[in-house]
Amino acid sequence: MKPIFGIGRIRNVALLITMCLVFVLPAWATAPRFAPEWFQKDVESLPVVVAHEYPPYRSVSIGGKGPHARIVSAVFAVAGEDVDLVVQPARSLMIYALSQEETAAVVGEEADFEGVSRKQLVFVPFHIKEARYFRYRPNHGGGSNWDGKLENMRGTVLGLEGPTDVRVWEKAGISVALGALPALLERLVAGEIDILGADAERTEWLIRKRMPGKEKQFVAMEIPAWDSFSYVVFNTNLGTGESLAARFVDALKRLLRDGGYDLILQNAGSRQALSDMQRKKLIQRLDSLKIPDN
Amino acid sequence: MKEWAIILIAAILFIPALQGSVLADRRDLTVTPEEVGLSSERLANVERLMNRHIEEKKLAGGVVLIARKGKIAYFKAFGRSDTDRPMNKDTLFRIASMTKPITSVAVMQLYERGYILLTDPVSKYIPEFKAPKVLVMFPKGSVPPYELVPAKREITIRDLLNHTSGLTYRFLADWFPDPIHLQMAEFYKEAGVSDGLDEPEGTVGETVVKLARLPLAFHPGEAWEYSNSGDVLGYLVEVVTGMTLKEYMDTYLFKPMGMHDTYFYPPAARQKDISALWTTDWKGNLEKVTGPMSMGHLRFSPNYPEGGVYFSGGSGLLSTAHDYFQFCQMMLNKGEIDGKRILSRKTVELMTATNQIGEFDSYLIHGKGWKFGLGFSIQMDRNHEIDSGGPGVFEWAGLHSTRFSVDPAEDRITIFLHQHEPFFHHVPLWERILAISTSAIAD
Repeated sequence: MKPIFGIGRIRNVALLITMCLVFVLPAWATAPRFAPEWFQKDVESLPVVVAHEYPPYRSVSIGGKGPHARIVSAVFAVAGEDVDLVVQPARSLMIYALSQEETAAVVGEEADFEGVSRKQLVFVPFHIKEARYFRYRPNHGGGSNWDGKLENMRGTVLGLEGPTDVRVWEKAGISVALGALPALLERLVAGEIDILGADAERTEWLIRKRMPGKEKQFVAMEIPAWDSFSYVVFNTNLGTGESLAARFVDALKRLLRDGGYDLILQNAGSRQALSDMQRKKLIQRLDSLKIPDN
Repeated sequence: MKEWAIILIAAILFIPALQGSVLADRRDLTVTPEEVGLSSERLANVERLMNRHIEEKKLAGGVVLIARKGKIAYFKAFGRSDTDRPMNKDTLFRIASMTKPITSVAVMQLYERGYILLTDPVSKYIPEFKAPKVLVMFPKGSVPPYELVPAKREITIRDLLNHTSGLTYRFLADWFPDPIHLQMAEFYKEAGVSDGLDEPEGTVGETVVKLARLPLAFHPGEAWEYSNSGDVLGYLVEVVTGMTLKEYMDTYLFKPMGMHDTYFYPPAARQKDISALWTTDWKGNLEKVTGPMSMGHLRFSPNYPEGGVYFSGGSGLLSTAHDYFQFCQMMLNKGEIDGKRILSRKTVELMTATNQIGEFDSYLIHGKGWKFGLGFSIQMDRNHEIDSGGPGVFEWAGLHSTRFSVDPAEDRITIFLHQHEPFFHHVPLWERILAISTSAIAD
């Protein structure tokens, strides 16, 4: 019986390996210079949370994606969930992600969900934004405050972002013009509207971006106009939405109470910290939330 | 003599000498048509044609430049550049998409120097392009109206250069009002993605990262679709080099190519020399565009104020006929101009003499018989309706009605610059000018 690894057989195997190397190495040298993974679907990075552009609160152009993205990511982290927060450039893509893709949650404002069925959604407020009334100094001077009374603006034309319920202003004798914020700012400068009522941080960001050098011509009235919530909206269709929402709420409350929330806002460059009143309001809303069981 | 007086006299003597030297350079290139094998008599038809169109108020004015064998044989300004100014040879034009070939050259310089590969996925440099999705429309009335499916592969730099990336333009919804283009236009509008012609705010990088997250109109490599990929390429240059596109082009293109009058935002002293932008119905109704305006899905503005920072590689440049001639001549010379090597011969061949789009046609302003290289549309045969003189001619155009054509076989360049919207009205006029330019060849 011949040994399995005789001299001849070892020589043949060595020859075979050498031949393989001779033919394979040049093939490596001339192989296409791209990595196959560049052309494959990335299943690992399935987005869990989708937001849409709403600068300066959240935007792909802002480092860290803006204060909202920072808060939401941090709350999820405290809740023990690492999320990939994707900022979509269009609202419709955020709604598409919520309804058609396996997206655990989305981030938006109340108005973003107009016409969207809320049956399987849990709305969790996570931030309060402050709106102010603005005047344009060259047209109306810097004086006149509304002092918290709408009747002090009687007879004026007020610009508001639409769609919105305008009855409260009209009841006070104020004419309301609805439009998009950039157009309203231009109308304020042109004198077509007397006052602009809008989210303060967003308005000031837009003035800086679109009308550099004119920042001081815009006067924000001292008393805030109203507050509005921003929401993380959980999708209960996926089966894990309720428990995720519950953990998110717990983590958010913890951050609101221990000061972590303020630190995140501050680090994200937000101009506006939560007032004690706003913090209380937010916690009350969180306490009153009824999240359905799985 | 007082010091100030010496300086004054020196300035009086020296400044005209400097100006004279610039003009002398240009005069050196000007020859009679016959010296370069063109017929003066035949070229005179350009004047007749242009003057007739101006008399009929189809257009306000324009500049035509025809060059052969490296010399300018025909260079004339016609009509008015504004309500109160005649057109002249140094008038500045918003060359819009004629920016794209220049941006393509910038990208190919990076390729030549080993900074990038054409097969690189764009996401390697602009991560927002990772894992793109493609729009698929459902039949009318469906809810939801569309779905988004993962792209079969990522966009490569080559896809951007030859317009097979899947990106599109918002204004194309007016040219091709089918469900895909209309929905894409909605996405672009909602996301605030500018076509680059409407005094966009912020930087082009901000637009590009938004564009990167929007769905594609088709899978990369599966169709030829004109798009603002030029903006992505311009931003890519910024990411790879760490310079703004303006800094890069000034340093590595305009200065060595002698394009001293090409800008993203002309300096204050040259603002008055920018041609007015007009709307025309080609029936005698000409109106000057005085501010930002919309025409269907297209938004544009005549204003390019000094100090702007939105450097659009797809449509942002203003230039003169002479400067663009320098660029065309560099391409015709296979990458060299005035003793300066801008690209290698092999790279120019890759861009202008090699079909990069397989079976697709470069259909937007050409059609059957035209293919696309890297930044340029290329005529492949003379069997189809659009003939610019023969196989090998490469061209492109700008949306505000600017055109160029380079004919390597005949060593000929034809440039026609004017500023009228909408674009399509002037096409028969351009084709006639090209036919005259071609038939003027007399050797």
